[in-house]
Amino acid sequence: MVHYLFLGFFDHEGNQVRLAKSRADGAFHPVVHRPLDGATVLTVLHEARGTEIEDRGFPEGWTSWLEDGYVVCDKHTRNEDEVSFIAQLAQRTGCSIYDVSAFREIKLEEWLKQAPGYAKH
Amino acid sequence: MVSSRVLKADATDRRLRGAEVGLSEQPRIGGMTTTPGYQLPADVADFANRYQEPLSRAIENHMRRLGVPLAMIGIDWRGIDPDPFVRYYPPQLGGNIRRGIHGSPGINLDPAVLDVNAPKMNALASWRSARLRDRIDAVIAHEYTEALAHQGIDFHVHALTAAENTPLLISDRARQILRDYRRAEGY
Repeated sequence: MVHYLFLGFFDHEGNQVRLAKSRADGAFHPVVHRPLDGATVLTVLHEARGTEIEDRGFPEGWTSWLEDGYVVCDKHTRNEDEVSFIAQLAQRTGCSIYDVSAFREIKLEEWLKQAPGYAKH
Repeated sequence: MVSSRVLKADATDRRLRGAEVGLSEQPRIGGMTTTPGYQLPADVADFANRYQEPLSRAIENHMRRLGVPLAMIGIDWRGIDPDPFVRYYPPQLGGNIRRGIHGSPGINLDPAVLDVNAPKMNALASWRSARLRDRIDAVIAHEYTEALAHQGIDFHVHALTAAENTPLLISDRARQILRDYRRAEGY
């Protein structure tokens, strides 16, 4: 019912993102190949918001957060700053975008078509 | 229905405490705080884990009573357990696999449906005041509608706009929840 995207660099099994079941919560999580650089995420975050780097977390009201090496986002966020952040992060880092409910990686352009503020990108 | 035992989160377990932890105490990666998004409350997670088997059976039976075909109960795909009641991370209330992906559509629910503060739904008065059965009905209808969406359309938008009129035998309150969800999402 709620749809998420994972942005990061993931291990693959063939052309599929490798998923591993967590003992902690019994859910499948993507296996991270290498973590996103936190400093880069922070820089992109503040560029997307147009603010100075004063605080070190995602804004209240956003539906994105940093997991263990990857970013989790609401696929259907209508917050244009958040859309801009996701787009810039993917473009800046070249990371994958894994659509959790589609069970596959998607291209940024595919996601932007249904995101608000698409014309900006 | 929810266990009366309330688990006190371990003070060192930031994933459970989430926003309750001060900013300076939150884990950091490369200088960035890692406040998690929605997490299942500890007592909901505990209850779901303890009663996984009967909950799964109850949800399967309920799906069948609503009119969900047996072949659509559960998802047969890598990275997801085949039961009607599963775990997703992050918790997402329910999931589905669509005809376009697999040829054999299927749906399931996750423990967020037990939580009145579930993501996206917690702001809906109809959700917050509903019985658990009505919430379950609403999520089943949404996932069922998505699972049967035709290839090429936005399946989530399709479910947002069509689930409230599902032929499944869901409650009127469930239909109200779905209407309110549709409006909250801007449709």
